[in-house]
Amino acid sequence: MFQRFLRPQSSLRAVSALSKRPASALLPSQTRGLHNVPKLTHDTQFKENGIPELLSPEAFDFAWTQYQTLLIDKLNLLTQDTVDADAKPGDLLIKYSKRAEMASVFNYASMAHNNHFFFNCLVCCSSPTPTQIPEKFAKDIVDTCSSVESLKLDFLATANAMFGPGFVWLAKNLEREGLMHIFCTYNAGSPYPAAHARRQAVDLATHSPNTALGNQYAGSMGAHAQNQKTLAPGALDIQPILCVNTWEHVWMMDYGIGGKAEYLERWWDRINWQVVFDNYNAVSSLKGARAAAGRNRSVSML
Amino acid sequence: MIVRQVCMRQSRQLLALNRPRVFSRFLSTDEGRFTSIPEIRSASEPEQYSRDASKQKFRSLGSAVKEPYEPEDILRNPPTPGDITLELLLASQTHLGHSTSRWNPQNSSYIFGIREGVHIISLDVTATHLRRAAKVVEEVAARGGLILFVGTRKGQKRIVVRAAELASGYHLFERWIPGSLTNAQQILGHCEMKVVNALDEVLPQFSNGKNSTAGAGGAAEEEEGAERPALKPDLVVCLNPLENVVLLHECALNNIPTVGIIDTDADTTKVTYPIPANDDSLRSVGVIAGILGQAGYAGQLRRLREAEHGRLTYSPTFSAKET
Repeated sequence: MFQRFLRPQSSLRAVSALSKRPASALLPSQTRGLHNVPKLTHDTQFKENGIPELLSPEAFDFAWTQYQTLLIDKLNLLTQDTVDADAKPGDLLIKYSKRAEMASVFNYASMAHNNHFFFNCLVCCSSPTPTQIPEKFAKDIVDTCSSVESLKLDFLATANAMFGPGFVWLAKNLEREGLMHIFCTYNAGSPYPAAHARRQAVDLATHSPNTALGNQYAGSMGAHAQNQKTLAPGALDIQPILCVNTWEHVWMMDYGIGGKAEYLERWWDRINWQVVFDNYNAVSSLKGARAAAGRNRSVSML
Repeated sequence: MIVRQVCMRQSRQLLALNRPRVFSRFLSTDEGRFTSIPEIRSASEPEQYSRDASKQKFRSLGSAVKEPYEPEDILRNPPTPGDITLELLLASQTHLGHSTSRWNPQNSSYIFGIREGVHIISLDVTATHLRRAAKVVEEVAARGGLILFVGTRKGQKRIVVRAAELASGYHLFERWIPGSLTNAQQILGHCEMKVVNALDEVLPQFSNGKNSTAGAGGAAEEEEGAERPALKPDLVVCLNPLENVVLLHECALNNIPTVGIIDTDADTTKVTYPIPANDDSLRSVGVIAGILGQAGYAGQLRRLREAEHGRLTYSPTFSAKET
């Protein structure tokens, strides 16, 4: 019974345990982690050459290898020997998005997810020309944003306007075919509608939380709106497909403290549009398909 | 209060990560779990159990989780008789019996001891009996026998259906109608019946389904319009014998061998091949039924392989001469 009190259930106690012993100092026999750093598709190339034109190998090592390892270690320490020990980061962040006492778990799970998302969307080989946007996707972009250039301007303007660190997302609207959204999440905020309580889409110094992502379309709220349980009232049902990491530790090493704008410009040329298009196609915005998915036995939370 | 931060690990139900490969002497063809031969219906992960790919794609971003526990895995990929280990049985809660006051003293040889007022079933005994039952199921399937999987408790439906699907057998998850064997002609006499050849292909000229054109030129032994004797299973696997006393009694009257999960309060004499295990936990029942289903699959595979080479593992009802 005594053991129950010593198990780090409170996040504060867990964090204080970490401050006494940094993750790297623990012997392998003392930690049992089910989380591991995921392997990127172009892991070896990135390790050797960094991301050409964007990040040097040292910066890549810092922003991915070391940082993701840190996130995974902390996630392991927080969740080991609990019911969440083998939970995927996506499940964890949704589960704890409404619980302030588990903010620590949410933060590390969300950050691990967002960081992995960002590095997945980057192109590998040092091709001089940026990757081509697939035809159908370009058409959808033009429908939504009038042109690819205006999408870029919107996106980079949002990113530059953010005062603090975070992520900027391009997301596909699942209720309307072809509609896309750009929004930012500060710190470790999550773009998923099911985790709306921790979206952190606005700087609270300048905006109230309700101004973000309003849904003014018919059928978006009320008793018969879709996904009432998981979405906030009047929320948008979206799936993120592309993101940029605007945390300083990613770009400061290569671009200096004032180099955010240049980093963002270079990042746009290093997007792997094929991956973005695959993400775009992976989620269907058809209502019939989503209703059918809801009938699955497994809980669909995203 | 000074709290010493000791490195504590709560004991956890874990499947052994690196299971030593038990010499699978019970499987004649050790081909791994699911070998799909094009002619034989493949029993690999059917669509209703597979994960929703699009959601998994984004949900799993962030870390590569090693061996997450998913309850659906019992149905997606049931363990085979070769996977029976004490760790598996322990993790599936098969050792948990009932309160000591509820025991059936005939089961005393299956019981390891008592913990917290509950009888603990000996896992090595469970493993032995389970392996024996799996062998029986495999051999009956290999000889073309009809196997009926019965599980009438709440939550056992999918388990029973999956086991029957693997073993090409039959399932029952609603109440057994008393008299289905002793009064078979009355209760099951009107059922559709099919006659299959050695490769499990239906022969429509013998079958008397509702839509088939029966009678013309075939089945010389039956009169036109008369019903065939209703079929009886060759083996019955019962996942909750306590609630199916009538079924087991009818099977005994008809000399049908039965396999059953016998908990500490169950009557071990009611079944032919008892498996002393926990019948209340769905995980336990799922693992046992999965193992028996896999054994049935192996038996069917063997039978169909033999049939491909022209060897029949059973004596047929009709032979080619009589057509």
